Amino acid sequence: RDLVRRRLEHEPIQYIIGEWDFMDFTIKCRAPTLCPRPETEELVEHVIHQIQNDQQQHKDNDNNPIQILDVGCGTGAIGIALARAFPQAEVTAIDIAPEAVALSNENARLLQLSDARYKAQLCSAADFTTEASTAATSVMKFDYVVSNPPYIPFNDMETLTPDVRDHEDFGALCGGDDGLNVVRDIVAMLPQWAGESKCTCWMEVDVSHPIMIRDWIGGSGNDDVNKFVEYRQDLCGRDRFVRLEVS
Amino acid sequence: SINNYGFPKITKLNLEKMDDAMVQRLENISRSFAALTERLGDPDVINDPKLLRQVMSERSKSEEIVGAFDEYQTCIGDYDGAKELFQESAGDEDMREMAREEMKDLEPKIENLMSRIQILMLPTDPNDDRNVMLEIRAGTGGSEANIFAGDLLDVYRKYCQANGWQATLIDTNTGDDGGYKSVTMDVKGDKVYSKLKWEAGVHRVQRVPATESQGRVHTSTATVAVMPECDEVDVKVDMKDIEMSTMRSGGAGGQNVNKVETAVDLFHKPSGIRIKCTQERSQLKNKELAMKMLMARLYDIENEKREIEERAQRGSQIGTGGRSEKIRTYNWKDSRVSDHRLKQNFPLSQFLSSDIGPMIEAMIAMDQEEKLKVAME
Repeated sequence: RDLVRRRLEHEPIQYIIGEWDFMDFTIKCRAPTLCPRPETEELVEHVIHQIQNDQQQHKDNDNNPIQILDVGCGTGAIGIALARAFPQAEVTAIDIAPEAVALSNENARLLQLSDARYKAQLCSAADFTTEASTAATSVMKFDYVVSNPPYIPFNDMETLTPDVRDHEDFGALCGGDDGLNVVRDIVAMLPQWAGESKCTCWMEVDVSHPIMIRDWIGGSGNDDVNKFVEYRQDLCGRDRFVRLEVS
Repeated sequence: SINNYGFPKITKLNLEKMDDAMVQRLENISRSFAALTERLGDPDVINDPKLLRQVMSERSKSEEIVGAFDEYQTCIGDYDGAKELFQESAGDEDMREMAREEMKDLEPKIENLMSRIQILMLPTDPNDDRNVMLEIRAGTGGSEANIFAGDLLDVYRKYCQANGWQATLIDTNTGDDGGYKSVTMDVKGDKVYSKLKWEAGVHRVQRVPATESQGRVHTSTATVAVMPECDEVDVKVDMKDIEMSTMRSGGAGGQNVNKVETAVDLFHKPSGIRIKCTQERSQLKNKELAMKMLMARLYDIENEKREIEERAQRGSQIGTGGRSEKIRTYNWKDSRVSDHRLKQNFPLSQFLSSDIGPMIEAMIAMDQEEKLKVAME
C-alpha cells in the first residue's frame, strides 16, 4: 500500500524499488540522484565502440591502463559500465553532490570494482585541477572524458513532469539559461585533463546543443585546442551526443 | 528373407556381415575417436577450457557408434571362433552342438548391432542438439485464437518441465480476452530442437469457444515456430541493414523524461522482419534480445529452405517441412488430435495433459524410417 501511495505521488519507480538495470548490470538508485536514462546507455555504447576502435588501431601500443574521467557521475552508471567493459581501465569520477559521490562508490564496490579501478570524489568540473585530484589518480592525463552533465535549459524546467521535477535533483538537471553551463566548464578544462596525449570527450546533451556546440567550437570558434568531431542522434531520432577531441 | 531394417535374415551358418566399405568407414571413425581421446590428455587442451569443451564435444559425437562397432567386432570375433570350432569338431556331436548354440545366440546380437550402427550412421539434423526459441502466434479466430495460443503454451511449458528443460518467457503480447496474440519462450536443455522441431507449423482447433454464447463450434488457428538458437557464425547480419528505434511517445527525451520506456523496435530491411522488444528493464538488453530474435528467425528461414529441399528429394510423406504447413487439428467434440503428417489420431486428453511425447516419438520414428530407406538405395 505504501508503495502504491509513493507511486501515486509520482515517485520514480527506481527510487521505490531502490535499483534499476543499466545495460547488463543493476545499480542502486536513491533520491535525489538522477536515475539513468536509456539515452545514457547509448552514450556508453558510443564510448565503448570508440575505445575498441582505438585499441584496434594501436594494437602494439602500451599495456598502460586506460584513464577515463566521468564528469557528473550521479549513480556511477557511466563510469562503472566503462570499467566493466575494459578491465584495464581506471575510472575517476567527479560530482558536486555528496550523495552522488557516495552512491557511485557504493555501486562500484557492489559490482566488485576496487578503489584502484573506480573512484568517485567530490569536485566540480571547473575545480578539478591537478591539485584537486586525489592520490589515486595523481596523473592528470585522461584518454577519455565522458559526461552526462545537467543540460536542461532553465525555461524547460517548468515543462518537466512531476516525477522528474519533484523528486530528482534540480542541480543534476538544469544547466543554466541555455543549459550549457557545465558543458562550458568541461570544454574549458579539457586541454588540462588531456595532458600530453590525445583525449576524446563524449557528452550527452540537450537536443538544442549539438548544433550550438559545433558552431561554437568547430566552426569559427575561438578554440584552437578543442576540436568538434561529430554529433549523433539517439534512438528516438533526436540530436543527443557530441564528440570532441583534444590532440 | 529380409528383416525389418532391410538386412538379409541371418540363416544358419551363413551370417551376412557388414561389407568392407562400411567396416573401413567405421575403422576410420574409431581412429579419429582414439586420437581425440588422446588429445584430452594433452596439457595444452586441459589448460584451455574452451578448447577442452570443443574436443570433448567433438569426441562425444562418435562415442556411441564407436562403442557399437567395438561390440560388433567382438561379437564377430566370437562368431568366427564358434564357426571354426563347429567345422573342426566334426564327429564330436556335443562340441558341435555347443558351437552351434553359441552361433545362434550371437546372430540376433550381431543383427541388432548392425541395425543400430546403420541408424547411427544416418545423416542427422545439424541443429538437433541446439536450444530453441519457441514462438506461438495466434492465427485466424480473434480472441479464441489468442486463447488457443495460451493453451498451447501451457502444454509446451509442462512438456519442457517434464523433460528437465529450462523454459523462460522472453516476449509476451497478451490477448484482450485472455491468452496471447504472440508469445516467445526460450528453451534450454538437452537436444531440445530434436524433439520440439516437430511442433512447428499451423495447429488448428475446432471447439466451442469460451466466449461463444450460442454454443457454435469455431475453427481457429495458431502457428508455432521453433527456431534453433544461433550466433554470428550461423547468420551474418549487416548492421547497415537494420533500423532501430524506440517505441517512445513524442515530446522531449533524455534528462527531461524518466518513464523507463526501454522498448525497442528493430526493422531488418532485406527480409522485412520487424521485431518489437519490450521485456527487459534496460534498453541495451532489449536491443540485444531483439537482435537475438532476428538472427534466430533468419537462421530458421534458411533451415526451412534446406528442409523443404531435403524432404522433397526423398519424397517425404511426413510433410513438406514448410513452416506454414497445417500439421494438426484438435477436435474437442470428438476428443481427438489428428496429426496430418502421421495420418494418425491421438486422444485429446493425452495432449491436454501435456503428454505430447508419443506424437513426437512417432514423427522421429517415421523420419528415421524414411532416411533409412534412402540410405539403402
